[in-house]
Amino acid sequence: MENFNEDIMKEKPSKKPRPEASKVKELRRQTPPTDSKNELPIDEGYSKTFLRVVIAVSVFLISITLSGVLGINSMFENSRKQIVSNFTVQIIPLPNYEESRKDLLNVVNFLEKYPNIKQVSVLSDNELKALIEPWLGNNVDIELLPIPKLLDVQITPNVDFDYKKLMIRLSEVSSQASINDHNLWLSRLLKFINSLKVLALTVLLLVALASVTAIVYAAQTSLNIHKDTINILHIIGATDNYIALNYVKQITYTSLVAGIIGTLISVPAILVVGSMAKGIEAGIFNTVSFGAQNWLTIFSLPVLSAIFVAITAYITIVKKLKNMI
Amino acid sequence: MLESLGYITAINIKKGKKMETRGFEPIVEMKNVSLAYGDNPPVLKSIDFAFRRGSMHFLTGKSGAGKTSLLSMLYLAQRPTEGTLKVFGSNIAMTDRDKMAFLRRRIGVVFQDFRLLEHLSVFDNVALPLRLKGMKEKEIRQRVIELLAWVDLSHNMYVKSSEISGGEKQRVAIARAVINRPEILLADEPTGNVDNEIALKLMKLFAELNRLGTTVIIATHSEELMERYNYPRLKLENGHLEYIK
Ligand SMILES: Nc1ncnc2c1ncn2[C@@H]1O[C@H](COP(=O)(O)OP(=O)(O)OP(=O)(O)O)[C@@H](O)[C@H]1O
Ligand SMILES: [Mg+2]
Repeated sequence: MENFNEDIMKEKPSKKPRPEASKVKELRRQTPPTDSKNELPIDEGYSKTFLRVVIAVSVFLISITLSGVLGINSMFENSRKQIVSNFTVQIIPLPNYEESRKDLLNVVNFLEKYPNIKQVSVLSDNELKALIEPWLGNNVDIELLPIPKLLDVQITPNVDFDYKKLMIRLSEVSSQASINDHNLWLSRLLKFINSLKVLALTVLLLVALASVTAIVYAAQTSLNIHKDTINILHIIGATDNYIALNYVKQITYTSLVAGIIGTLISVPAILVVGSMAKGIEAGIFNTVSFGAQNWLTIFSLPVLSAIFVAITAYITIVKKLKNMI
Repeated sequence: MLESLGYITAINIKKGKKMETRGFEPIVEMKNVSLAYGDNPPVLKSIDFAFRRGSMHFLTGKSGAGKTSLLSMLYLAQRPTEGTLKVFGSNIAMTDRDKMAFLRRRIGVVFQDFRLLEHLSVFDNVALPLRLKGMKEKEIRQRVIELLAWVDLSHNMYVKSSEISGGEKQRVAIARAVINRPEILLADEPTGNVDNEIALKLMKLFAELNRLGTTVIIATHSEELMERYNYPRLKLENGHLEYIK
C-alpha cells in the first residue's frame, strides 16, 4: 500500500509541486468562504421575487384585516354587554285613566312572559316625578298628567335578542307601546358588525388561497428550473426529504423576511385606522381597545405565515420529487 | 509517508471494516435487460451479464453504441425497459425511492459531461456525498482538502465549479465520485479531457480503489488506454454486450 501511494505521488505532474503534508495542514487551517452551500439554488429568476412580494402583501392584508376584526371584536364585546342587557319601553297614556292602566298591565304581562326577558319594572311615580321635576316643579299629580309610562326591561345577557319581532308582537298587544329605538338601532349595528366579520374571514381565506397558489407556483417553477441539479442530487444519493428540506429551509427564510416586512408596513396603517375609530368612540361605543394581546397576535403573523409556507412548500415538493428519477 | 489517498486505507483500518474483496458474489446482475427510449427501437437488447464484486472492466463501443445508457441503468438513473437488474442484491424494479437513495450512495459516478453543481465551489461539489451522509463538517473538510490536494485542485478549491477548465472539472467529478469510497465506481470517459500524465494518474487511482475492493467499470473509446491496462473488456455493438478476453 505504502509503495503504491509513493508510486502515485511520483507520477504527479511535475509542473505542479507535490502537496506537502504541511500544505494540506495549512489548507485545513484556512477558514473557508461563507458562501451559500445550498445545493438547490432558489435565488434565481423571478419566482423568488414573486414569492417575496406575494408573501409580504398577503401578510400585510392579513395583518390589516385581522387587526380590524380584533378591534371590532373588542368594540362588539364591550358594547354588547351594556346595550343588549336592557332596554326601555314607553307607553303613551290613553285619554281614559282606567284604560291606560289596563293597557299598562297588558304590556307588562306580555313582556314578562316573553322569552329571554328576565325582569320588567315600571318606573314608579316617584322616579317619574324626579325625572320631570326640573321642568314642572314638585307639586304635580303625576296620575293626572298625560306623561308616558316607562318600563325598564332586563333581558338575558348574551342572547341574540330579536327586537324587530318583539316590536311587531308588542304592537299587537298595545298600540301605545314602543321600544326605545336607540337600542334597536344599536342591535342592527351589531348585526352589521357581524357581517363585517364574515366578510373579513372571506378576505383572509382568499388571501390564504392566493398565497398557497404563489407558494406552489414558486416551488414548482424552482423544481423545473433546477431539474438537472435535482437529478444529480438524486443520483449521488440524496433522498427526497433531503432535497425538500434544503429547499424548504430557503423558502421559509425568504418568507419570514417578507412576512416581517409586510407586518411592519401594516403597523402605521393599523395605528391610523385605530385613531380614527377612537374618534367615533364617544358617539357610539364605550371602548375601542387594541391591547397588547392583539399586537402580539399581529406580530406573530410572520412566524405563522413562515410555518404555513414551509408546510405548503414541503408537501408540494415531495409530491413533485416522487415523479423524478 | 504521504497522506493523500491515505484516508482510504486509514479509514479502512481504523474502522476495521475492510471491504469484501474479490469473490464470486455478483454485485451487479443483468438478466435479459433491454433499454429503449420512448417508442424508439431499443438501444440495449437482452443483455445478460454479472459483475463480480471487486472486478474491474472497460466498457467500449462506438459512439452512440449505448455505453452511457448502460451505465445510467447501473447508477440507477433509469430502470430497464425489460429484464431484471439487481444491484447489491436488490431487484431495482421492486426497490422503493428511499432505499434507492441509499443504494446510490454506495455507487460513485463520473459523468461523461461531469454534471457538477455549477453554482457551488469545487470544495462543496466534492463534499456533497459526505454531506448527504450527514458527516461532521470537520471530518468533511479534512477529507475533501486531502483529496483535492491529491488531484491538484488545492489552488482553486473555493472557486465556483463553473469557472474552471474542462480538465479540472473532470478531476472534480472524479474526486466527487471517489470521496465516499464507493463500492461501485462507474466512470464514463474519465480520461477524455485530461492530458496523458493526469490520465495515467487517474487510472492509478481507479486501480488502487479496485485493489481495495471497489468494483470499477470504465467506459472509454481509447484503444491506447485499454491496451495499456490489461483489464477485461466489454464491447457494445448493435445493442448487444460482448465479453472480450
Ligand atoms: N435521453 C435520451 N433520450 C433518447 N435517446 C437517447 C437518450 N440518451 C441516449 N439516447 C440514444 O441512445 C443511443 C445510445 O446513446 P449513449 O449516450 O448511451 O451512447 P454512448 O455509447 O455513450 O455514446 P458516446 O460514446 O458518444 O458517449 C444513441 O443513439 C442516443 O441517441
Ligand atoms: Mg456516452
